[in-house]
Amino acid sequence: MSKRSGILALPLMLWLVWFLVMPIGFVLIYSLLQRGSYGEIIWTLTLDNYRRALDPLYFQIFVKSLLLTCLTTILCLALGLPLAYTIATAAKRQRPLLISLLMLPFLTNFIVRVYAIRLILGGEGPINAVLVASGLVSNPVIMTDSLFAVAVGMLANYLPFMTLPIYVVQEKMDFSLLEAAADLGARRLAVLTRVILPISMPGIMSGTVLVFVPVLGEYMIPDLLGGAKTMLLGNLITEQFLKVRDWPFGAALAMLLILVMLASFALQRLIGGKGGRLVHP
Amino acid sequence: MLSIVDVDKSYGSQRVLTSVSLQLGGGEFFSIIGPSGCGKSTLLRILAGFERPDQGRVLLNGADITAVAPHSRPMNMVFQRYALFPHMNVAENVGFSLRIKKVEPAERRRLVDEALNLVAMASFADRPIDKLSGGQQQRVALARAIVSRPKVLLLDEPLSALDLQLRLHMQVELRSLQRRLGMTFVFVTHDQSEALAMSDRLAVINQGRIVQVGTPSEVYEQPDNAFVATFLGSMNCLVGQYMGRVEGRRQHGWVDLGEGQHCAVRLPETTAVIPVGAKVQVFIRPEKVRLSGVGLPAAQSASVGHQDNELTALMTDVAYRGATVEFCAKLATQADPMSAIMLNSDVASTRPQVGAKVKLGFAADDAWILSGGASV
Repeated sequence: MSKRSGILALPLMLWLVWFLVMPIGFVLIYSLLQRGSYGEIIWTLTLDNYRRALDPLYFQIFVKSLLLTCLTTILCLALGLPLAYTIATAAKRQRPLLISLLMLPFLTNFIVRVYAIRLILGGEGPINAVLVASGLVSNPVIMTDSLFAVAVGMLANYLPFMTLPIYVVQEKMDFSLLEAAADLGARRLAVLTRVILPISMPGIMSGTVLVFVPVLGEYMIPDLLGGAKTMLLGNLITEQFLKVRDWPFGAALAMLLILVMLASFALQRLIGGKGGRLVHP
Repeated sequence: MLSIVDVDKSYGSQRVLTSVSLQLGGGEFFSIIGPSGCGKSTLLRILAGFERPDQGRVLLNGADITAVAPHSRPMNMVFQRYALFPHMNVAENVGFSLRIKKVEPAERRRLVDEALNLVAMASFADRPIDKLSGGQQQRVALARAIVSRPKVLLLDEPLSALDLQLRLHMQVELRSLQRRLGMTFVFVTHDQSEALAMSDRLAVINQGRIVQVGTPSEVYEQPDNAFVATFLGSMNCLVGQYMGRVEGRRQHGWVDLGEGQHCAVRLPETTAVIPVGAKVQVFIRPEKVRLSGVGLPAAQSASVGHQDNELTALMTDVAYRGATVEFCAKLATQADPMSAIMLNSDVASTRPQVGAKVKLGFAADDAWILSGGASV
């Protein structure tokens, strides 16, 4: 790094130190301390919080969160890939419109959006209205307050984060490559797996990270759509900080969450190799 | 071997190809040439299978392949911008079609090496594509297209992105490659010198129709119409009035160019009689025109003096082009100056100045009036 670019990066460096490195440092320190009976911090070092976090009671929440996050990421990928391809191959005039349709939900408040999904899935919602009216079911199906509702909410909120980076890569793709592949004997499936997917890989990797990381820590969607039964990692941490006032335990859980995310980054590097370069929209 | 029968193609209301028919022989280097937008690339895409003709058929060795998908056609294409896969290295690009066909890795490596050797790129096998120059990418694209030995190789203006030196070099290489492989090459270009230098035969297309098919010398020296005459190579065009046959010479006629100048021209072989007094265009290639007084003595006897025609004109420009010298001289009655291109080695060092009165000579056999589209 040259001297000048070092100076240019200084404000960002200060920002990162102040708002990222230091808070994580605090969390790390808290996670090694003890909680007093009134929620105060007792300054004695201990690993008890981590031991407790690995207790089956909490560990199964960890596993459930991880599974739901993987499922959400895979669903986002399964829907985002064809969606991105559709936008990338649409007529040039239509693309800005399609992109803004994709971004349209972000014009409303996050909570409002999640509540909207609650209404849509709920007993009085349009889906049940259709189901009952068609005679398929006699009583409304309660779909809210379930893992299913959480997955739908996650998918609805995070699909654009998967679609956009893939679109950015595919939009720049030379489409004569697809003709070249067909010309050289590749059928449609082979064109997809040997040309489109490998070339889209940087976008797929970026999108995966953009979905995986926030979904793993997500607590609003499980809270609003999952009900009391669906406790995920994000809710558990929030609860420790805001309700139970057990900051050291909450901090230990947060540190474990950060570890899982770092591990997923490492895994992505390993899988992605050269194609794993991140591309951001 | 490859036949195109009565092919029509439209995009919406835009007619791109109109009843195009061609017969290509095996092992032939066949060029399709025409101005941009004439439909030549569409014709190539129909051959590759990327486009379906509205009407007509494509036959390969007698079998109708009009509806066969691109991946099943024994033809490969070299794309204008090469279309090399950016996520693969040189060897992987070349071996792509073999991988798809599930050729054994050892055999695949052998065939890839062989193809890379043919285009002198064997030492680049492990390079990523973005570390290659334009000329090298061109060779890789060529190797990729020939590695599985297609019956026909389609080339879509493959040299147009190269600089002049490299382009001339690749012309020679493509030609020799085609001879060695004995493969049929269909070469689309808008560059007339490229088409003339490389082809066994060529088809000239204009506005979606084939206007002439023949060997380069046939098309260059006996163009069927004004379009072919002016599109291939440079051409002088004089406007005059037809005055009737030259006495004693059946194939020659007189054309009055105004202000007392006239020239003898070759008449079209078709029996269509040109009415006396009709306005006609006379075409003469610049290299067939001689400027009297500037040739060296040795070249002089062969060129000037034995000419049928001698026109008086005023020198407007001399352009020195290295191997050749181009003289431009204007006839009083003609809008455009006439150009004479002579070999530098035939031209004496004393040249007429701009503004001097000069005599332009040419043989009656080298000047044509064209039947049909030639009359104005």
